Amino acid sequence: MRAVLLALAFAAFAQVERPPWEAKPGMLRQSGLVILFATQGPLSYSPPTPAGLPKDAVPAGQVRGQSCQHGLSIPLGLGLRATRLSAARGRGGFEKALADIRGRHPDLRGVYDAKVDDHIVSVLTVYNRLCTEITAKGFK
Amino acid sequence: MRRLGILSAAAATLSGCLYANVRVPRAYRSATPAEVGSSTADPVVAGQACNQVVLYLVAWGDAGYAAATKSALESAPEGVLYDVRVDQKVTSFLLGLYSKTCTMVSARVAKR
Repeated sequence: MRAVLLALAFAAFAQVERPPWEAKPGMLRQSGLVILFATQGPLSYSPPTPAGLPKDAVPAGQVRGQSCQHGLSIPLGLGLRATRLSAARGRGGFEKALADIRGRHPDLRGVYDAKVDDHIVSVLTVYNRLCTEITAKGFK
Repeated sequence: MRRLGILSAAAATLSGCLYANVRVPRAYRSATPAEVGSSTADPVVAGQACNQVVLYLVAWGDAGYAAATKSALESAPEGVLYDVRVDQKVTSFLLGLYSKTCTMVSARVAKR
């Protein structure tokens, strides 16, 4: 039983080498004792370029959308290496960011020429926010 | 040497630990020459966007693709970038007490 628990603890903390062909997800990183982790992050998205638009598409200018993951990480002591109690929540993936654009511009048929950035906010390492921001051109 | 190692480790772990508000690039599927109405007369433009960190404690800036491409398209805001090259430039002074990381974009601009 003790060996199983040790193996599980090791598996939880082990850094697994990612093969180069695998996409790298943009998940919020939490450390210490993670009591809740229920987030969604971006993995891959292939937006159309101008050539991929329908023939009758009408450009509708620049649009923006975002989706966020939020995390709290509270140190249980005063030292820099103190154990932390952590939790993270939020849908911060491409699906929610694109839904945000659709919500702001319900008349759009789609977007193209999309630029995707990560917006990171951290306050005293206690509160962390990671947002996926899509800046694109819309078409109707 | 050991002190240098400790300082480097501190820099890596403490960057922006008091407050950080930065944007970093994630993904950009830019157009190829065949996908836009390209011509040999299309101008080459360049732009950059930067994040800065001071004393490993405070980090700010917008080094994302949106800001870098907006900077590149200042002279032709309605254009579409193609044949895009993106580099990262890091400038650091005094063991990283001040550092600046920039996303550098250079590309050609098509009208659409």
